[in-house]
Amino acid sequence: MEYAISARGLAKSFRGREVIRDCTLEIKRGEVYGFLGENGAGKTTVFKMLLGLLKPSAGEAAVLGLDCVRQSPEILRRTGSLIETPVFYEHLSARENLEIHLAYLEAIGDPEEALELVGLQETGEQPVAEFSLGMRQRLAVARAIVHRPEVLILDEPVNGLDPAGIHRMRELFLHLNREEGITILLSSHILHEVEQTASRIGILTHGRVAAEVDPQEIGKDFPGGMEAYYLQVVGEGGTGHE
Amino acid sequence: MNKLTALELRRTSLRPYRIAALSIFPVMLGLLYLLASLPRWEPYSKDLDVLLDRDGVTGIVCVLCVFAFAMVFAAMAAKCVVEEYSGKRAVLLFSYPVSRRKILGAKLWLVFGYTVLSALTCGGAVLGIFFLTEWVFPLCPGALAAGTVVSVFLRLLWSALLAGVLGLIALWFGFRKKSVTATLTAGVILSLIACQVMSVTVGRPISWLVLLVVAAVPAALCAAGLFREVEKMEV
Repeated sequence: MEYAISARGLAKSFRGREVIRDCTLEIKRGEVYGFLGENGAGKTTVFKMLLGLLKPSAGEAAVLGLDCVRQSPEILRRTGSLIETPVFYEHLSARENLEIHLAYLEAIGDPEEALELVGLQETGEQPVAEFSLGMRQRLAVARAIVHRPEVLILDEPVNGLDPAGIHRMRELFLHLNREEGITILLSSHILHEVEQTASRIGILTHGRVAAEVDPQEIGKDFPGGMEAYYLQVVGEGGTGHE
Repeated sequence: MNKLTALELRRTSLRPYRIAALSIFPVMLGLLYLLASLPRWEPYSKDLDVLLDRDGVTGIVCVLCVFAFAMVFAAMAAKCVVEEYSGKRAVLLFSYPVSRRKILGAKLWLVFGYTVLSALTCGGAVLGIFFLTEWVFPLCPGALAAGTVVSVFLRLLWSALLAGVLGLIALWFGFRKKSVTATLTAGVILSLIACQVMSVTVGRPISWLVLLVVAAVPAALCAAGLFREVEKMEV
């Protein structure tokens, strides 16, 4: 089985404190994988290790078969990501931000199309400094998809969006996944949202993926739905470094 | 590298630094004429001996040029380098599949190049205007010699380079602390020390060249340290 994303025995410590420990994750090509966990559980840390922004203390991880430590530039070229609160070149327009991003990636893409997909086509020459929180979040998604990556790694991509924006993003992610075969790994605290988007859900607690489930199956064992399931898995508590 | 520098240029707003350079110009010009006029108002003051010839007057202006443009470098580097490698901005920077060394190199090249060119343009314009008026209505005694003009412009070149070199050292301090304030403070302290040395050696231009070479050694080490630092950074 060829995995789009795989991690085995992944660990990461910060100042001697182990945040991620023995974390194993396998995401097939074409999957939408929802990554859940409490604040500080280490979701962002895992994402950063997958992108090569952090070096694992132990274990190994690969994206598209490429080693996350040694082949990080190639991974960055073939993935789109949104990590933490997105930052932009504030004095430039949305289109200019995407053009610069493409230039750094040395990739071909259509900024206008990406902006249209996230509903920012009308922003014209308006500098990003004047964008609302929701607009910035949508621009971050546009930046992640503008070069048509094979894998999308999105850390809370619907943060700050209104219900219509959330709906639009969900439709976009599903479209990218179904029509273009893009593998998506996304985290969110909006359980309902993840349940509706993901084909598989993993819950990170105590530094490792403690449970994985098909969202379609949850109702059978948990009449309370996703929330009841999630609360049971993380029930023992414990937080760490995000 | 050229492409990366062009990208840096495109995504960096140079407006504040252009305003700074444009503001420095009238101050330097006014100061130059003020210094050149002082001996006429106080003809017997021994303290003004250094201002009795064009070398002395223009030398003081070059000293001010070092201070002003070292501060421009520090401010620009604080924004383009220190802030970019701090917190969430660093995530964006490291998300590009480009060698970290090359990106930092492009940034340093842009800041150094912009500062030195601004100093040369601003200082060159000030000195150009001064020499033009000296040729027609001289304030300083004696005829204006071509050798003086060449020597003064050479000193301006050293001063512009020194401003960049001092700014680079200041950046190293600021980068280690990931602090804009530390960058600016280091810039002030270093340029004040350099300006002090320059002002007591105004009459010996070669000593400025020595100062430049001496300052370039730690600056090169600082640049190497910055490259090492970004290579091992985790965000």
